[in-house]
Amino acid sequence: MKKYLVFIILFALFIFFQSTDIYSDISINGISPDFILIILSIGAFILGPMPGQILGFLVGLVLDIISGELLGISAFTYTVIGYGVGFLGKKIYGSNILISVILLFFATLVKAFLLSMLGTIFLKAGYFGYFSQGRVFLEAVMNSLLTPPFFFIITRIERRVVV
Amino acid sequence: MNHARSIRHRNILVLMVLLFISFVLMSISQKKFTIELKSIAYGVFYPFHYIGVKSITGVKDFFTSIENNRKLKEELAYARILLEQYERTQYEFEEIKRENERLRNLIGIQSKLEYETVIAEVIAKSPQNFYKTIVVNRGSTSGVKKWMPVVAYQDGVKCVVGKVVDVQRFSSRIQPIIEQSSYTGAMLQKSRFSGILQGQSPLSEYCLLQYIDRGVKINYGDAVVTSGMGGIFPKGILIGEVVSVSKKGYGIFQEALVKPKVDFGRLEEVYIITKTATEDFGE
Repeated sequence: MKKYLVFIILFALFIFFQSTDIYSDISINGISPDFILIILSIGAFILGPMPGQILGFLVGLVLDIISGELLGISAFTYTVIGYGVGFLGKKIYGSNILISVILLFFATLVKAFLLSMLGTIFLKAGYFGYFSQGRVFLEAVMNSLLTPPFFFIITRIERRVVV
Repeated sequence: MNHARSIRHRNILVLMVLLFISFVLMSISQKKFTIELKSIAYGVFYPFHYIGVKSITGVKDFFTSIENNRKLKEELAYARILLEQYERTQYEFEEIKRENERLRNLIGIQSKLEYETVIAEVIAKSPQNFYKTIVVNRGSTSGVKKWMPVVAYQDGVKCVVGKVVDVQRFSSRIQPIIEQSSYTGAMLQKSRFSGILQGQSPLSEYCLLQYIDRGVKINYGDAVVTSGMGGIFPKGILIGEVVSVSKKGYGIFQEALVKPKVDFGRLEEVYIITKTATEDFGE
C-alpha cells in the first residue's frame, strides 16, 4: 500500500506542477516533457500491469476533469500505457533502466497516437496535428532522457518506503 | 502455470472494463448531464488544485523575489516617466474623445458599446500538452457566465485570449483561441474581409484564419481583429498578425496562419468582458 502512496503523491505533485507557468518555462521549441507519463510508466514498470492500468485510468480521469475537455480520452490512453508498460516491463525484460528509457520513447508515441485518434473520432478531424513537424518525437526524446534520473529517484524512494 | 494464466486473464479483464468505461465516458462526454458532472467533479478538485498550484508557484516566487525586487525598482522608475507622459496626453485624449462623440452625433453613428470587465488571475493551466485550457479565479459569484469573451492587456495592447467555457462558483475555465476546438469570428483589419479563426494542433501556438476570399490580397504582418460575428466577441479586438498565407490549387478560399498577439506563456491576469452571448450556444 505504501508504494502506491508514493506514486499517488508523485502524481498529485506533478499534476500541480504541470498546471503552473514553470512547466511552460522548461520547454524546448514549445514542447515540455510529460512528467506524469514518465511517472506512470516507471510506476507500471515497477509495479506491473494491474497497478499500472489502474493508476493510469485514475490519473487520466483526473487530467480529463481538470482539462474540462473530452472526458475519458486521457483515462483510455493512460490505461493502455499503464498496462502495456507494466506487461512488457515485467514479462519480457525485467527491471532494467535502459529498457524503461526505450519504453518511454514508445509510450510517448502511443500516447500521441491514441490522443490524436480518439480526438479525431470524438472531437473533430485534425487532431492528428499532434504529430505535426515531428514535435511529438521531440517530446518522446525529452521523456526518454528524463527517465533515468526519475527512475533512480523513484526506486530509491520506493525502497525506503517499503523497507 | 495455471495461476500465471489466471492472473493474465484477470489483468486483461480489468483492462477491458477500464477501457470500456473510458469509451462510454467519451461517448457521453458532450451530453448535458456529463458536462454538469464534469463541472461538479472539477468543483471538488478545485480547492486542492488551487492550493497545490499556488504552493508550487509560491516556492518559485520566493526564489525569484530578490531578482524581482531589483527589476521592480527599475520598472518603477520607468513607470514614473511614462506616467508623466500619459498625464500630458490624457488631456488631449479627452478633448479628442469629446470631439469624436460630437462628430458621431452629427453624422448619426451610434457610439461603440463599452462593456464592463471582471479582472481575473490565471491560477492554473491544463497539465497536459494536449490541451491549453486556462483556469482563472473568478466564477459565478463575480458575475462570470459561460461564453463570455476574455481579453488581456500585453505591452499596452488589448488582445483576445479566448472565451469562458465552464463556470464554477469561484473559478472559470477559459478556452484560448489557440485551442484546437476553438472557433472565432475574425477579419483582416485593413481589407475588412472576414473569416473563421481556428486553433491548430495541440502543440502549435498559431491559429488558422480560414474562408478568406481567394481574391483578397493578404500581406505578412496584416492585423487580424474580431469580426463580431458569432455573437461572442465584440467587434474590433486585436487577435494577432498574419505570418503566412496559403492558397491551394483549387477552391474559392485562401487561408492565413495567424500569430496571436497575446503571449500565453506570460499570461498572469485576464479581463472577462461581462457581455452575454447574442446567440444561444447551449449550456
